[in-house]
Amino acid sequence: MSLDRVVVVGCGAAGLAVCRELRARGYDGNIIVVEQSSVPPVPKPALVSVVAGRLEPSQASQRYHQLRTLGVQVLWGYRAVELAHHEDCVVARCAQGGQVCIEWDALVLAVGARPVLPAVFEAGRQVLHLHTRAEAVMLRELVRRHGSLVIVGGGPIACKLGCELAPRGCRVTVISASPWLMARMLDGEAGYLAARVLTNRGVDVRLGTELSAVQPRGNTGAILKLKTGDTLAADCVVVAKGQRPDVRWLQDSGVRLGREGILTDLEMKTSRDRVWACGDCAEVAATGGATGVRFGSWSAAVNQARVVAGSILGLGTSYCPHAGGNVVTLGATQFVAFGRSEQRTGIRVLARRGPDRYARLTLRRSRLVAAVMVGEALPVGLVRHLILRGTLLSEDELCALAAGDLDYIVIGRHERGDCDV
Amino acid sequence: MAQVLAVDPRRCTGCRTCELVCSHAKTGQFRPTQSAIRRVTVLDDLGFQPWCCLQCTDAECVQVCPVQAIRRTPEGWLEVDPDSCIGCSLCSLVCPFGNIRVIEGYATKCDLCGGDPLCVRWCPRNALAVDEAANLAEAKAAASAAAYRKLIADQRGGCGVKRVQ
Repeated sequence: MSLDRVVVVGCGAAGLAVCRELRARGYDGNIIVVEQSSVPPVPKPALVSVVAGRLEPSQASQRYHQLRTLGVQVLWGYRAVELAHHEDCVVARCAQGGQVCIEWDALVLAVGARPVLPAVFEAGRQVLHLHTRAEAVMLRELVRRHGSLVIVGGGPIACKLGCELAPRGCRVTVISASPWLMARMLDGEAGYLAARVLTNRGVDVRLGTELSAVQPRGNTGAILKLKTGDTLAADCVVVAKGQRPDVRWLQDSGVRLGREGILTDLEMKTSRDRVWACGDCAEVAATGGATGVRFGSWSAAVNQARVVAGSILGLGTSYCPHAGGNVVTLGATQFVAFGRSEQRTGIRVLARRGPDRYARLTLRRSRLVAAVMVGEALPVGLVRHLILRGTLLSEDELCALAAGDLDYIVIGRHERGDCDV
Repeated sequence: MAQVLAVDPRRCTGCRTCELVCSHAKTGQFRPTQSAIRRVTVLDDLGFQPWCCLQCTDAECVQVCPVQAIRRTPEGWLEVDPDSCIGCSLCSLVCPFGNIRVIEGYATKCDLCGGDPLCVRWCPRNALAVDEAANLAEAKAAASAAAYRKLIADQRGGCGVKRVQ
């Protein structure tokens, strides 16, 4: 099978990493990237920094200069609209109506995900999601005017945005239907600490409530009615209620879709020959089931991209889902979560040290399988290492880790076993 | 060739001077928890091994940083550009040795203090030094070979290695 041309659809974290990894592993064929944005996008972890004025959009997008040096051809402003079922070609269309049909020997789908809009908002109504460079720049203008902002959603993006903007003079309100912040990532205690960090920085946090109605006010503003009966007026509303991949265009393409995204195995291969998927759009099904798990983080996207590059070149790599974790920094406080959420319920060690330090470690057969930690300068790398390697922990080491007194464990003196996360 | 911080664990007494000096250089405070160099206790206080960034050749932190805030200097070590760092913690998440921490919203790691590390200067037992990674590997190999020779010599009653004619 010839491998003269690799086509990558999407140029986010995963798409960019696939190009880089292919070149790093010696692939010298033709790489074509199809990207719907007409300018290099701002990486999502950097969007909040752009809004806060800590980073210029051009500075945040400088990773994309790599593409030129890698010899990658990019079709900016082209959106993939069709993947032919019986032919190896993908059709992309630009905003002006032009259309191209690109043939491929290997295809990588890294189309990312789109923000979710709750039904209470009118379709077509301009709502910001903090998903693109343009939205980040628009929000930055609002910050300069010290306007009022309502963030709908209580996830990491909402928390980071509120934490950055309130000290800069904006009136920020965070509304979440969950009983605590970052509910998918943290437990109640850690979520309570997150709410306290935000409140101390001047954010109005309203938990356990939802919107009942939204009335437009000006170009971007709105009057929001809550189910509690309260009314809020805002110059701008940011909806941060999660993301879903837009993969409807792949329905008749021979690529099997899962509950939300594109189903892949651990080699990131889809059901169609020579088609891979990675990043936010990939739903990894380890056992070949009808549904899998979507890892919506930058580090997962980069790791998956490495696997894709290795798999395309026949190097036999596979993705390790346990390598993931999530870290959110609010001010100086870090909120860290590792492992599956259901495993966090088996509490073994719980530590609360001082008003801002908390740890909840879950063990199975003396091995760390999940962790929720809050504090400053946390040993994130160590925790990930312990989970990945399945290191046996003594009681003393475990207590020291929970209390924040443990920096390293000498792996060599412990029995090493397979990770059973 | 990449330069790294070389540690001689036989000389280290675990006094933690390196941590204090480093934290003061990085944050202006004497807080060992915020130091880029960490003391490791080996075998329950029988010995010590300070530990810090190994300046990896193919560093994961460089690859994963979304804003390219971690760069390799012409001299060969990796440093974090504080103006670019967005404090996303991805580097600390992927570092296989756990040698990067996010402190006050910015990634902090050993950058060899620009080539003249304060921990080396202040170490009371000269347990730390800056050297090229290749030299370190050679020195370690030589030390292993010497230890092996000594082991054989001890097993043969101090006669040394017998030469075969």
